[in-house]
Amino acid sequence: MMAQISRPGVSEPLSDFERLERGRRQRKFAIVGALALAGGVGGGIVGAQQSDRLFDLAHPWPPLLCLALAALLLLAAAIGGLVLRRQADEVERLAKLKAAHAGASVYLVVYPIWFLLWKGGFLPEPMHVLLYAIVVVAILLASLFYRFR
Amino acid sequence: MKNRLRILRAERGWSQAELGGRIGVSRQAVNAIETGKHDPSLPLAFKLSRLFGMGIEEIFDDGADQQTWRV
Repeated sequence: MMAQISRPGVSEPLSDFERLERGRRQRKFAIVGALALAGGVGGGIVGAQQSDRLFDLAHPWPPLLCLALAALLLLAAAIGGLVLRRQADEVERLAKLKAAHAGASVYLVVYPIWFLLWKGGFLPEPMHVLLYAIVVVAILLASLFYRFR
Repeated sequence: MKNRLRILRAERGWSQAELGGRIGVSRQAVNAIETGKHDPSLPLAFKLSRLFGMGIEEIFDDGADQQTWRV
């Protein structure tokens, strides 16, 4: 493991270990990119077909489209999650676990409070899409915190 | 948890990426352990112990015996 390669524009060569590190990082970006591409394709199909009533939650979508997108999401979550987990080390896995815990905690607190405030007539009925978005944002923020703290 | 990882690594002239490669974790993970942001699992602590040829308690200090390491 002593072979070295040149890094363009930098006089200090990369060691094999640094090449491994770079390869690990590139694989992770490739996996996340593939998942984002799948999400983009799904979102693009929905956007193209339902552009006129995209944000009308009461408007139904074609059942086959919904089934196909659900299957795509399930497949991406299963395969992507498994592959990403194999790339991650214990520090990254722990950060993801803590971020997921933060997201679950936010949901467990936000939903019942919103529900009670709705029952009391202070807020409109809890919206599942907004709750989902809040949880996703909480997970992203927690991930960033545990990664860069 | 305090540790002597940075010193031990520097003594051998290894980069964080190189140490990470030797124990199967990323450079960021090595940095997190060195700075005390992450306490390694027991299997990872044993890998470090074997790599440096010293006991886990010689690398890591949980502060229980009031011993302090210079980091």
